[in-house]
Amino acid sequence: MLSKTIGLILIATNIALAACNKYLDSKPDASLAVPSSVKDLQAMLDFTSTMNFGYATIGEVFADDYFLNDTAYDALPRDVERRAYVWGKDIYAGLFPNDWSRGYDQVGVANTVLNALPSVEHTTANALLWNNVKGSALCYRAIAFYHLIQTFALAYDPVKAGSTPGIPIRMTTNFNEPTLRASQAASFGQILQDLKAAVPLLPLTPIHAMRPSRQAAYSYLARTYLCMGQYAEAGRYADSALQISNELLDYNTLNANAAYPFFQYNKEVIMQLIGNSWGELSNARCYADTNLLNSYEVNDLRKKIFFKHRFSNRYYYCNSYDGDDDIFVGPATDELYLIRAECSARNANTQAALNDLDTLLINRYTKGTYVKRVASSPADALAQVLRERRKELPFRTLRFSDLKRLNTAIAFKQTLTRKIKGNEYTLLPNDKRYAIPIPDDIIQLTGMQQN
Amino acid sequence: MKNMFYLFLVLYTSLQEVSAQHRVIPGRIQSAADSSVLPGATVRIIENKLTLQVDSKGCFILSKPVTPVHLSVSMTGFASRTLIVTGEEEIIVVPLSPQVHRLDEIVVQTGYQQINKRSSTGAAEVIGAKVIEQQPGTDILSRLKGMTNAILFDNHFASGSNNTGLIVRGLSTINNSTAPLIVLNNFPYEGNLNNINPNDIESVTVLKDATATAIWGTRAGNGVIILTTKQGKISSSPQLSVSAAVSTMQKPDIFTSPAFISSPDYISMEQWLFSNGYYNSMENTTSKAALSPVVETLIAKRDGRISSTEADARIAALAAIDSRRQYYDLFYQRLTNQQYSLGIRGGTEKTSYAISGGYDHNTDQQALSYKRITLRSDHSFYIFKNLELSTSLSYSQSLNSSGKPASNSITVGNRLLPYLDLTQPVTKDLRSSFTDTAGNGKYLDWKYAPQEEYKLNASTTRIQELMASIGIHYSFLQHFTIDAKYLYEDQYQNTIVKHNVSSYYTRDLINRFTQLNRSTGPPIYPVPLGGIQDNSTNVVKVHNGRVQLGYHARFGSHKLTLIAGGEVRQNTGTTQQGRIYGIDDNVLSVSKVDYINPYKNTVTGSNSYIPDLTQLSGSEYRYLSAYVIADYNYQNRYFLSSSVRKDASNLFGVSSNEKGMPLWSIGAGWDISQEPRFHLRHITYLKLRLSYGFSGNVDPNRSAVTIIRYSRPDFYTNLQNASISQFANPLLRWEKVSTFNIGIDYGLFQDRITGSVDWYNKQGSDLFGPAPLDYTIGVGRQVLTRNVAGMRSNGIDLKLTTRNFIRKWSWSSTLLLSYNHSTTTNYYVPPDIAANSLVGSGFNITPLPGKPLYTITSYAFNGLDNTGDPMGVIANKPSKDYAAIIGTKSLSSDLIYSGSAIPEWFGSLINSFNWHHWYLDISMIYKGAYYFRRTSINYNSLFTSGVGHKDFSHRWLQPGDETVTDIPAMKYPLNTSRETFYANSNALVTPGDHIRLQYIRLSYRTTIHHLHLQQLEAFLNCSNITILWKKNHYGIDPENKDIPAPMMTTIGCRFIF
Repeated sequence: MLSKTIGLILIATNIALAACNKYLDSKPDASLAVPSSVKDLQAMLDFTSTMNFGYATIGEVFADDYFLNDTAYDALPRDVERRAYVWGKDIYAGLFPNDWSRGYDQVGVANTVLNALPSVEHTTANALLWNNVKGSALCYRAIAFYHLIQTFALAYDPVKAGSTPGIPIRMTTNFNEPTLRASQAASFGQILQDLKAAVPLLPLTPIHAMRPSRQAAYSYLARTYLCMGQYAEAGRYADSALQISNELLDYNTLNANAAYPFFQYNKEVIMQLIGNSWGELSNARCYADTNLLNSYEVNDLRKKIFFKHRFSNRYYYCNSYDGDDDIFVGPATDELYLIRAECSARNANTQAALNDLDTLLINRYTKGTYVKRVASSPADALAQVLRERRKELPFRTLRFSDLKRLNTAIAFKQTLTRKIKGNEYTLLPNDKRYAIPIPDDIIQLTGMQQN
Repeated sequence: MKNMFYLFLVLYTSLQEVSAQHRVIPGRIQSAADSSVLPGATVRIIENKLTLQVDSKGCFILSKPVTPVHLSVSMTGFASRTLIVTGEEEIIVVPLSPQVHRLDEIVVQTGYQQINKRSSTGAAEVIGAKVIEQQPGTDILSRLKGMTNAILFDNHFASGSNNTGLIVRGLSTINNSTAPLIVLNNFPYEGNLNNINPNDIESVTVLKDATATAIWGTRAGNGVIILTTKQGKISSSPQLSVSAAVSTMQKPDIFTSPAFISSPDYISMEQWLFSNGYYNSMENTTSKAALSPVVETLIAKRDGRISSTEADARIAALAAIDSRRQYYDLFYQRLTNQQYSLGIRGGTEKTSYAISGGYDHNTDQQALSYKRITLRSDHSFYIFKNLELSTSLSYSQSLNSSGKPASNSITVGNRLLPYLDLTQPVTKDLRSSFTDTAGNGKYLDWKYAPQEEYKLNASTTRIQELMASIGIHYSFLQHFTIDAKYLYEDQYQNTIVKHNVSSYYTRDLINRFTQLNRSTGPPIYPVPLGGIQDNSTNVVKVHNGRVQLGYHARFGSHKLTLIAGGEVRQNTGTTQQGRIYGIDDNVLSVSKVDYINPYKNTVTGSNSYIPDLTQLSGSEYRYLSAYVIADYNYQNRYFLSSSVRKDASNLFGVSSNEKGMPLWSIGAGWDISQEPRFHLRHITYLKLRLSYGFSGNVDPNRSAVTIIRYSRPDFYTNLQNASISQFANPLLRWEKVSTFNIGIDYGLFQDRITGSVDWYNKQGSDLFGPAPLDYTIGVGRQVLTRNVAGMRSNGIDLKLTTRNFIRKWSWSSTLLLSYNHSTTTNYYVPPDIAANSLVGSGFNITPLPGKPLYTITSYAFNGLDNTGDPMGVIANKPSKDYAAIIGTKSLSSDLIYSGSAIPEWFGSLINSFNWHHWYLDISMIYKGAYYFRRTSINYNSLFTSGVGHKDFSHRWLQPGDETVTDIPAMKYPLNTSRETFYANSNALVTPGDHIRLQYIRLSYRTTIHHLHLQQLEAFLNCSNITILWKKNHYGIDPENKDIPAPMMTTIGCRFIF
């Protein structure tokens, strides 16, 4: 009797529970979703505060676009920033989020999207959207890897790329899978592969500057090949990008007195990407490098527009293409002209290089004052292009990459010095500190090789 | 005394009709201990249900019965008696003995059944109405403080998920909410606990052991607190009770706050920083952030805009100001809490009812006001002999209105200033060099008036809650019962913040968006000139249903109860938020704003969007449960009980095999004193209890699949976007906890000594805890909560009540003492990886086996060196490389593990005295064997936020000081790693042990018969009186580390008719 009753009750209970499974299938929170549709995945990629912000700027901290005086150095809010300024150690001690984590967060979102995408049906109706999601995820992942490798690895060495450490190339967010550091060859290879796969999937131009586009993918291919020293490819992709749009701002039309002369999403911007902020890079603290300031010619509008006078021959930067204090790190048409010009010069096409320089610079000089450039040799043209590159692109984190890659050529080697409180610090060409130390906790957790 | 009585009797009887004189028997009720008069008893003739009148002297008159009758005599606080009156008696004297809380009369409410405490096998604590009435309080839980050994009131976890601050028997679940499950009558209570009027509560039952989780399911892992409301009784005369209480508390002594630096000290620090160029870069920020009046004066002096003497005079004037005095005078007041309640209950032969209402009005020390109205009505009817219908309806409404700013809350340029003059308008966020000249006077006034601003930003929160329930109870076929219950709960909460057009908040926002066109005159206001109102509405609707089948049988000395039931529960929540701009209060018109396009920010010159607060969100949680309970009783001596329950829910992403998990418990009891051969004279009661059970918990915030959360359209792109809210953890498992409990209930020396002792052991595995994460994986965090730990917890709960004196005056004592020692038994992460993540104040589990589960872990502090720098340790060697210490170089063996952050011992001692109508209760609370991290000077907070500390004046100043102080020197440039190191070093770990005089309550209780007043009670209660002893030598009250709360005095009265 008793056991029968209990048995009956248990059976009834189980039947009831099974029948009610449907009742439990409802979503607990209306704003939550298991990413399963094109719309969900696109929404993840449109989360701009992860995907378009947080790019590494420690390279800019290490570079020679700026300097600090003793009081500004002492007043830096964090001791890690004082160490970073003099290329010291323990740069990320106690800092989170940091350049590493923000970069890999972008990789994490892209991987989540790419891992989920195969189970989302690809139909003729959703083809455009589906392709855009896949292309965007690949493009974002490549962009994130590009900025990470510019920061945490040494200059690309075509001879030893197979054995020189690159960065971890993570393709999944499964945290039960260990993180391994890939070689430079594998790292750069993945970046190129992702970008090339993204190109046919993306629209030529995006619906918003925060979104990846075919032009952005071409731009990053150009940037990547440039770092790898494959100039023919770099020039070709820069050209492909400029084919889509090649508009330049005429600096004569800008208001040099405005707090920020540039507008957000101006017509040179190909993709809006913003870097992390560091105390050193605050325009209230740092001053533009004197050599750089002195390199602009009298009629060069960039000196008036990029820099603002603070006091006694000290200037600060206001050249962000974001139109505020944020550091713009994305690609823009001016950079592409310079890449194409550099590649032309390196491939001994002097005239093509000079044409690109002229196209760019005529928009940078006071109307009617620009004199077309001439060059005695491809090497002269290259030197001129690199000088203009220096003057056109400061404070966009490109300087650190340029120092790193140009140090490999004897003609362009540079030793950096910092003077603080009577001490002089130097960073020699090809110093191993050109690969920023990976956060120590990551080294501890993964056992990977430190820089 | 006896003569007096007869004299009175003669007088009394002479007033009666003469003809009745020989047909009545006079009666008298007196105390068994000292024969003193006992008024207020109820005397009934059982045969004809007639109630006799008892006067204020305890006397009554009984008509001489023809055949013997039974008289039942009952009185609150005394044991009831029944006696036979044959009619032969000259006089009836009924001595009554004080009631001993015999377990027979205590009922344990589990929410599913009522069990006589005597036959219960679990560890449960029942707190009756008398105890609840001891301490005043707007909410029910605060009244239980120090009244039970089942609950630790500790504010360690009070912030965050467990906002009640209650801990039942340590913690079994880790990263989840540590809050116990609160059940109101039959169902879990989802609303705000403040909605419940404590005067409506008859009893509180705390289920402590595995039986709780087994019967209440996964949400009960931290214990269950069951609130039972007052109900009417069948066939009882109406009882009306009225009560009122008023509490007051002085202004808090904000001058004792350790977070203080004197104005002269602060100013000399600012002058020193200024001379080092610390503020140079702050003079030119794009945000134009305000600098303090002293720094502005120093700049003006440096730039030659004012003379040196003028500057010195200004600074001297500022140095003379102490903002605390102004805060104290302008913003603080005496606290007043008022509480009134009215209730009536009773019943006829077939119905019972209880109706009550309450009103509360509290005004706190910062003029924050809280008003509450509660109404409740409970009815039950016997429709047929075996069918009972019960209904209940309750409504509560409360209104919270914001008050004045707290001490040290107003900042200038995000810095606190000890010399801020609150009587004058200040430039709060922007430098006056900017606000004075910007826009050529076309902007609205940009000054902040501390005394006005709070009035212009009033915030009100209204909560309305309706609960309605219906239930039937049907008995059939002699042994069977069916119970069906349904409860609907609806809570509506609305918060409105009104920023007046003249408030600084509104003016500042309008100014930041104002577009000036110098050539064409009138400014354009993208943020319209008008008030701003923020509105947030939250609605929670809960449906609860339960059907339960019972089988109750008795075969000779065997008693068997079987219960099987199922439950369904749905909790739907919706939240709506929004903001209205440009309100014109005169005509209540509003304006549209442009959220889409960016505007040039007046201050920074960069693009800004007008803040859009529109947001909608909704949730719907569904639960299904089934359970079986079986109880067996043999000869009221041997008891067995067991229960099994399975829960299922729609919690997201939990894979289906983990959606449900059976929880179970078994228990046994043996009443040794009922054994026929038990003949120990001094032991009146002795019972042994055992229980064991298994429970599990899954954190709804962890998931086995990736989950994204949609947020409002992107700021920049206006596109729909979503972020990852939970990353997939395919290895997610349930937390598992097993609990064993053994307990003894005892009564000695005719119950002069009663109490219980329980020992328990909890074993947990797969508990959720933080594990350092390789963030290369890209999940946006450094630490991930995973199944990482195992734990063991041992504890003792002791309760001892002694009646020391029971004569004319009586004295009884209750000692409650609890011990809980929880340790980590294993941890799945190597300890030397990111050992710095072990450092903490005991909010996360300590991942080191053998250490208390919530240990205060610190960097080792080796004193100061001869430059005033604190010394740490790396790899067992002294070090000053702070970045390395707080980075990854510390080993787990370099850290100091001081001890538990949660009291391992706690208890209370309540002494109660009674003399005639006077009652005095004194309660003391003890907490011990725990540590906390006290605050000290943090130069980073001081420089960047102006947060001072009294330790500043005891800091290292010159070589040699290191022998007398541990407080580091102030140095420049600031090493933030050094500050982090010192703040988390063991130099600041402080023992928390203390004894507090919790309350003294004096009351007078009497009966006034000619007013039909069964009980009149007037009382005075002083609570939170003082700390009697504390182990630390820093003068810190471990429970009020910042500003000690002053004593609260309550007077009140209660009438029962």
